[in-house]
Amino acid sequence: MKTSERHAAFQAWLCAHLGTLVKVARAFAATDADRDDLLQELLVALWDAAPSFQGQSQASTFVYRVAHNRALNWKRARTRLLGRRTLHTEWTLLTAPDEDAATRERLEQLYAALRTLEPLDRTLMLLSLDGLSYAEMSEVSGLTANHVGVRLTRARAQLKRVLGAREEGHG
Amino acid sequence: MDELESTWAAQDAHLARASVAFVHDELVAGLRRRASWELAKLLYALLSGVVLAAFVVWIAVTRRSPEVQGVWMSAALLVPVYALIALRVRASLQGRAEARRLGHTVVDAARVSLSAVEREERFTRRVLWAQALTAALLPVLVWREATLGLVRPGEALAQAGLLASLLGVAALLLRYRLQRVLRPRRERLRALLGGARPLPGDGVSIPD
Repeated sequence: MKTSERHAAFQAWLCAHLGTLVKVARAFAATDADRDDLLQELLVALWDAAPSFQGQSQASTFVYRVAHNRALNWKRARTRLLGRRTLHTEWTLLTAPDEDAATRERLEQLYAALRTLEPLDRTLMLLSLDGLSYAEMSEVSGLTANHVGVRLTRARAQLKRVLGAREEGHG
Repeated sequence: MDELESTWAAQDAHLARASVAFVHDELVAGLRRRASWELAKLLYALLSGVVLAAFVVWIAVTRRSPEVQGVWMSAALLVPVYALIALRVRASLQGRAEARRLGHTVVDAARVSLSAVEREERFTRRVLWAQALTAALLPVLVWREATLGLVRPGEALAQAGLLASLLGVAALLLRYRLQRVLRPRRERLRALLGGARPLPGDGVSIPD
């Protein structure tokens, strides 16, 4: 992939899938600072992985794979320090949602509940909430569609349990 | 659409607006700067290698006789040099290999990453053993060279001190990487792949 093609592909992916990266960052990182770090890492990962995109799968599947692979491996101070030093941009535009207070609280609770799931279940749940089919989730995760279904059913039940417990706690 | 989905969908309008406002060009410039910085780090490691190789040559030429001991002393110095340079170069190559793996499925990428981490752990342990052996032999080498009159005692002591410090620094770096970076990473990947095993009652297997 030539530099100009990489640039163009990255820009196109950014326009179409930046929201996905933000959601992944929120689901895997609890604090604002960590969220910023992870979002930067996801963007760096997408940039680094761009030359390996062969067009054999859909761009959206590729972006999901890159984002989830990097998020699952996220805990590397080296890249985070590097990211902090070299990337300066308006992260707050993305990481400070402007939903109304009630929606924001519901979303925060949902993200907090997502973070209690096992990493692989979290990945599947995020893909499910984004509306991917079992076949697409299978393509991203490498699990069979049946396995995805079983894990997802249990993850969804656990998520509802956690959210229910939180609501009871508030009530 | 159930409650989870409707809550989830509530953020999409904001994200769509924010994505439009996000500064793409500035980000791409930053990513390009980062790529240059990675290249600079690799060049720095290679330059350090050349400087240290020159140091090894200096050690060799200070011997007044081309005896085996002088050659051994020089070769022994290559252990910490090799460790430091190899770490940087390996890190750079692994970074590229990992970037290629990011496009794989989650399970495939985790499997390949796990075997890469285990390989690096084995490699690091071998280098640590080589360093320990060098450190054990060092006093004998210095004593023998001084006894045979191949090097002045002051020079031998200074060079042995320098070699010992290099060995110490390299061992600390390797030990830190082994304990604080590689081991936790291996555990995380194992836990992830453990979660990828079929659940009881699933009746399916993960394709290789």
